[in-house]
Amino acid sequence: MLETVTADNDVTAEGQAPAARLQDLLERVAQADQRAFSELYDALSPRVFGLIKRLLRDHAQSEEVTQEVFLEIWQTATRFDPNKGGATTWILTMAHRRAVDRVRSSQSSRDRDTRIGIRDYKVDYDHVSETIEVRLEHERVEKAMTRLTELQRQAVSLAYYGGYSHSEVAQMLSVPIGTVKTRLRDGMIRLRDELGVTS
Amino acid sequence: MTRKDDASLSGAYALNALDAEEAKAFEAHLAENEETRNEVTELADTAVLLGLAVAPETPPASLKASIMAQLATTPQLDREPVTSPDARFAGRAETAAQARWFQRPVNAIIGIAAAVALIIGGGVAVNAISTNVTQSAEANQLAAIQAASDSQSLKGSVAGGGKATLVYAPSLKASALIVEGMNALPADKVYELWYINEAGARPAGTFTIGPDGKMWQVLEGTMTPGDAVGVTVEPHGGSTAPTTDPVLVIASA
Repeated sequence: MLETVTADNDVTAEGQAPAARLQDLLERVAQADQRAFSELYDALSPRVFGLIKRLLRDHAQSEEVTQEVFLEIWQTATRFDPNKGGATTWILTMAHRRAVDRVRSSQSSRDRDTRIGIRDYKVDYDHVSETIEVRLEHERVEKAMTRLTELQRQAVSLAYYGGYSHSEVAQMLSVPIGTVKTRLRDGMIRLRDELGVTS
Repeated sequence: MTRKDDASLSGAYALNALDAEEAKAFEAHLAENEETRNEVTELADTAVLLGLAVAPETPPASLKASIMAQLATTPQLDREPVTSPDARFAGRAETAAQARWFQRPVNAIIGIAAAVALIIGGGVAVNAISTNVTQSAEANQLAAIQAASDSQSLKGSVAGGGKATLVYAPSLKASALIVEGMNALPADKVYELWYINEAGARPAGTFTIGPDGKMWQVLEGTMTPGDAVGVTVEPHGGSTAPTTDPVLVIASA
């Protein structure tokens, strides 16, 4: 008999935890299981820290926000609903939100990079090589990004990777705020379609 | 704002690019508009893929130790009373309407973060504890104890006020005590930790309590199976045997 049992949940590349395992860990974290939390941390903290540091740049602040995120995971795991999205989605969304909050709340560091400009907010190509999986994900996004107009791409990158608000993005790109809103939406819809995201 | 204007914010919202007030207004719109809601869900999932395209970076081990050290004193939210017959009394109609949408993890965060701040009383507790964690060797030990496969967490109450949690890993013969709400002592006194069994009490280190009433410490020496852990008040410098009645005793299994 042919066995296809674990194919769907299997590890797809070194270091990549299958979604089902993460969900199971999160369920256990919701029951105050510290060992499960420890495993979940090991599995996802490089993702969380990498993303936060992408936005904040500053190592110490990135550690602080990573800590906030993981304590929030501990506190709110009881509210995680697996029917409404995976563990990675839940956690990375939380991480981005927290990183953006931190960026917004530290105005002084905002001025830091208004001048650095847009080139810095492209997805870093050179640094992405750790695992095949990460590389593939990266290339998929990179490719999808090329389907956007220049303005869409810049607006989306500044907002997501820079943590800038739409009005800041408008200022940086010297376009009306209404245009930025539309470009963020068109751009994200295009990415959604290119990346095959469905709800 | 017209409905069309509202819908056009879905991209900015999914990217966290709205300011707090705009986001709130948009959420009110979302609560009533299923189509936009679905769009935002998809765009937020798309944003996660942008996040997964970032190169992962492993944070320093000290960070994990610091986080693990805080779990025992960080309360978890109750599960949502979804099927409770009393749920209809849970809040205003507006809240109830949003709840359907806000149960989605993507946006639940905003509301929950505020609730958490209330429950844990802000970052004060967290910061107070993380100050200790600069002693990172000890923090690493604590993390190891908490992460051990046989790690157990035992609770106790302190006479005169305060709660204690003993984290014990028999495989490591090590334990750590985490307390909150304990009284500070005069300068000439310290709290002393003891391993207690039929043979008597062995000293396991001393500690003091700051104004915030919080402390955690890895016990000195080795804990043997069946040992209870006790705390007494002793003269500055500690004693070789307890001289007062314990304010806390936690028995291990």
